[in-house]
Amino acid sequence: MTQEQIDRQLVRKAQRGDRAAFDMLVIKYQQKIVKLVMRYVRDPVEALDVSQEAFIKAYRALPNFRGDSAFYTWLYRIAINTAKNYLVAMQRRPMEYDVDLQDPEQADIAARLRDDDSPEGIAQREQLREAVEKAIASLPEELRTAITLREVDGLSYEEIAQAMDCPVGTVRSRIFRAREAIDSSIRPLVE
Amino acid sequence: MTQKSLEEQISAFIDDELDPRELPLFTAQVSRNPDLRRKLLRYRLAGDCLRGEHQRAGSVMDLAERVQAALIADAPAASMAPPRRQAPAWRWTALGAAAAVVLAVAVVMQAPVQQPTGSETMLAASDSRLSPITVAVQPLPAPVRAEAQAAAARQMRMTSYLVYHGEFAGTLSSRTVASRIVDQDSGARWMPARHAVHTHD
Repeated sequence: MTQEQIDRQLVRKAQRGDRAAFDMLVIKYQQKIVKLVMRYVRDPVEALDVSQEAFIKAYRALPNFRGDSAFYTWLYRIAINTAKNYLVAMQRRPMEYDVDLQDPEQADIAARLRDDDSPEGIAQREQLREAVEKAIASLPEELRTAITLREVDGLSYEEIAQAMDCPVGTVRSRIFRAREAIDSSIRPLVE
Repeated sequence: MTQKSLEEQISAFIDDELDPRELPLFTAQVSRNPDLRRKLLRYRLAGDCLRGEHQRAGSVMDLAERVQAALIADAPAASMAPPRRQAPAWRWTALGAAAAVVLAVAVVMQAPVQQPTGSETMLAASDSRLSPITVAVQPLPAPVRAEAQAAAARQMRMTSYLVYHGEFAGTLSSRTVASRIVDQDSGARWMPARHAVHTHD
C-alpha cells in the first residue's frame, strides 16, 4: 500500500467526520509541517501555534479536498499560506531565500541551510541523536540493516526483503524489533 | 489483538506498509489508547533522529494532542457539516410582530374596550379589581402590517372552524374547550348561512 493510498483512505474517513483518522494524518505530517513553518516563523513556540492553525484549517477545508493532488501537497500549501498570513498579521516580512519554498524538495534544502535553534533546543536534539545512535549500534546486524534501509535509504519492505533475501513478513518484524529497542532508549528523554 | 501485534502495526503504518484492511481497526485502537499513540509519536521521532531531521522532541510530539484538543473544544466551528441555512432576520421580525398583533386582537376581543386616546389604547379589565393595562401601539411598516393582517385573517378562519367543528362533530353536542373559548368572540360568527352556528347553549 503506497503512502498516497493510505492518505486517501485516511482522508476519506476524516471527511466523514472520523477525527481519529485525521489525528493519524496530523501525527504523520506534523514534523514536516513544523519544519516547513519554521522556515517562515523562526520562533519555535510561534511555529507550533502556526502549525496547529494550519492543521485546523486543513480539517475545516477537508470537505473541499477532492484528491486531485496528494494530501501532503495540499496540506503543504495550507501551511505556507497560514505562515505567510501570520507574518502579515504580525507585520513581519517573510524571510527571503534563494530557493523556491513552494517546491517541497527545495524547501528542505533551505531548511538545512538556515536551521538554527536555542542552545537548549540544540542540546536536546544532540542528546536524542546520541541515544538513537547508541541504540542502533547495539542492535543485532539484521535489525540494524533493516531499520537503516528503511529509515535512512527509504526502501520499501519489498525492496528490503530482496536486499536481505528474506520474506517481507520478516522485514516487517525486524524493523519493528529495531524500533522497539530504539524506543526504550529515547523514551526516558521525551516522556 | 495483542499489544505486540498492535505495536508492530504502528511500525508498519509509519512505513506506509500497513494492510488496507488493518487500517480502520488500527486507527480506532490507537485513537482510544494514549500509550499506543505516544509510541507512534516516538517511533516517528526515532526515524526523524536517524535522518537528522528532528526538532525539539517534546514540543512537536505535543502538537497532535494540541490539534485534537482544539478540534474537540471548537467542535461546532470545526465541524465539516455544511452550515444550516438560517431564516432571514426580517422573517422573525415579521412573525414576532404578527404574533403580537394576534395577541393584541385576542385581548381586545376578550375585554371591554375604551375609546383610544391618541396613539395609546387603554384596555380596561372587566374585573374592577384589576388595574387598567396600557398598551402602546407602534405603527408597523407596510410589509409587516400586511403580514400581520394576513395572520389575523388566518386566525379568524381557524376560530370559525373550531366553533363550527365543535358544533357538528359530536352527536352529543359536546364542544371542544377551544370552541367554547373562541365562541365568546364576535369574530367567530361570519360562517356561511348553511353552516349557521348556534353559539349559545
